[in-house]
Amino acid sequence: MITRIVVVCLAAAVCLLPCSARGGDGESAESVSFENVFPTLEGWTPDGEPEVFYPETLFEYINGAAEVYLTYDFVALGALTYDKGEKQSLTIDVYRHKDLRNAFGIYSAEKPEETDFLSIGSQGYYAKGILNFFKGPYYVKVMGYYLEDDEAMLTSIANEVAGNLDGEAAFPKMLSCFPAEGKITNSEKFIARNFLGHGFLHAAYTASYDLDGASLVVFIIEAADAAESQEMLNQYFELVKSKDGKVDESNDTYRFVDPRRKSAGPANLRARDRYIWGLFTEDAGAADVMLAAVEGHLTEAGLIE
Amino acid sequence: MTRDDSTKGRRDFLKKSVTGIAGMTGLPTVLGSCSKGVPEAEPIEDTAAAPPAEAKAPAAEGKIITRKFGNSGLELPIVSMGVMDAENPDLVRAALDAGIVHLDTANVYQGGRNEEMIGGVIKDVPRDSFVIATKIYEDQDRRSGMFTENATKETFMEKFEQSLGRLGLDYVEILYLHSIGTREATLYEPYLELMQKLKDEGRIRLIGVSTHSKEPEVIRAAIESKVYDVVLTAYNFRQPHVAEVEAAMKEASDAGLSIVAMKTQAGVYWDRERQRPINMKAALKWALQNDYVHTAIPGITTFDQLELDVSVMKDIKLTPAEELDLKQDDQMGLFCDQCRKCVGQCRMGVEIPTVMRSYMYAYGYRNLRSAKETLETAGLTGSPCDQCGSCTVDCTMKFDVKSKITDIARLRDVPSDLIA
Repeated sequence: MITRIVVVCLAAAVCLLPCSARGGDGESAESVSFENVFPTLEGWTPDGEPEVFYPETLFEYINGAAEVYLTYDFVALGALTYDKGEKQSLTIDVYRHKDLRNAFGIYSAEKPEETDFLSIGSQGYYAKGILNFFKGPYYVKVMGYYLEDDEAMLTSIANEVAGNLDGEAAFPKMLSCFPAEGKITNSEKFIARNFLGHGFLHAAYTASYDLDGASLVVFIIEAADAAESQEMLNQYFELVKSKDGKVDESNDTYRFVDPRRKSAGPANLRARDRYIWGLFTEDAGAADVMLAAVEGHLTEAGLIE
Repeated sequence: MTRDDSTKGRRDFLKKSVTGIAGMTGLPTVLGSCSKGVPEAEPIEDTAAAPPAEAKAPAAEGKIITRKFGNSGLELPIVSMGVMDAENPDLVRAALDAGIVHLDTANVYQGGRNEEMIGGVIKDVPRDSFVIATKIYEDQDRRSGMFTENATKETFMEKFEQSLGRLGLDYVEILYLHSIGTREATLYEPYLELMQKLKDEGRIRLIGVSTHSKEPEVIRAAIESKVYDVVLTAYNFRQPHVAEVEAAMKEASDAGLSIVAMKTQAGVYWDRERQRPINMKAALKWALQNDYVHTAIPGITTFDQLELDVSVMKDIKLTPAEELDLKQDDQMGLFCDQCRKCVGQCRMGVEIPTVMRSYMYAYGYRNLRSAKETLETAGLTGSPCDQCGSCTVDCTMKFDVKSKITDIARLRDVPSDLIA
């Protein structure tokens, strides 16, 4: 069985990414392996070998939902179904993404706003018939059919899968840069591209806040380097000016009305090194407090000087 | 233009185009005749000013092209908005202001936040000026494609009520049974009964089914059911079975069903490295050339995409350059056309066409055994490209021959017995 899994994974390794496309920071093809990921479950029979899907073939498995996964730098999926008796079955889907932040990103895109979160991998949650969690670069779904007490069963299996996965059971470190006061628990997300609907803004982390009854979303845009960050800002300012808007700058803070996001109130931004952070609010005082707090956390984390 | 002005402008547009059909059929509202007991929207002035557009003729300059929605009494602009991945409510507002009427979402998108976001936008917009489609996905066995025990009438209704609540609506125009891939699931009686009941109660106007796989089978089952009004189907210029999909579309249209097209932009990139983007505008136009497509729902996540898609609403004629763009080999980066003009160009004597065939088997067909066998017939030894400073091969398809040889040559090191 293991040999067959190795075969499939080797195929994945060879087929996944040509070296010419990988570049310096790309995923190592050899590192993509689902070996030893799928547990042996007493009383359950694997339905053949794990299937492996790639960016080009993910649509075959999850149809239109594949688009969102590709947005989050999906690398490969290993899927295995187990049977027990005539009716009972369960399927384990292990999605490998490029890195932790993308695995967290797709997890955060799919998780409900409110639920009982579980300490499986980095974090997970159960809903009827399914248990989702993420750990390291992996996003995992364990689905059961016709199970008795499926929550206990899925939890047990998910824990076993989590133990088989490499990677740290952690959240992206950037999340620690969101100030704790007023933050809505588990509201953090990672958006991989086109942040705010602007093609020129790339990846961003967000967290929702309830500050004295006001709902705010604080964001931190993470560019590849300072030059990219500056280019994003330049394009943003050009957009504002092209619509006859004005960018005010004082005390290291940029304030302007995003012509395509007028309903959110003025944007309040700060930028340094490869980071841009900000929020939309009419309350400049509250914005300054929040921007300074984020800046403090970024400095403390050693991300900016 | 102020928001009020904009809204008025949109309503004027609707009077002239979306509800042109109302005038023609004597219907009081956009979808007034679709069901019994439907909560009626505000009556719209009968203008009959804008006849339905001819499908293949570009509209007069500045006019949005609309098409009749089967026998439903609805007429919509040919471009709608797939809202699935959009998170910015102002993007949806901008879409509505630009003339888009039909917003497509689903109960599952963004864990429900997508419907909530749309609900926040449309609460400020007259109910008769937009059309909402949402979808209910019910748990399916991936092997059989049939619903599991977790899929019941109760779970369906729970999700439907949840969707209406998030959207802040009493009814939606279209409710799809989502992501169906078999005839059996399409014809699943409990859900057909349920959706018919919702339609009779006026809580939905049209019954739909969405399909991303085995589309012809699902479309034909929808016709067979005599219950469905709309099919939302994947349709694009790169579909291997596109002729079969088109044949089923025609049958659906003949039977009075409407077709909404999705995945029209065919995966966004030509190549697996996601380096060569498809001409999205051309791809959308291509899908809309088909008369049987009533509207398309390209996914829109940025203002630039919105601008591009909106431009197609008024002009679906492919320019010569766009036609050329779509004629690129579907997998240009993968499929060597074996012209053999490269033979003899390689300083190291590599049999390039054969190596390119190996590459195609590996990456195009994912058939490693054939790839390895083909590679062996090429007689490749050592790492020939390592010994060349620059590649002398001028590929007519502009392949990066050196990188492909270097890449596929690694397969020689994989033992044959490890290849499934």
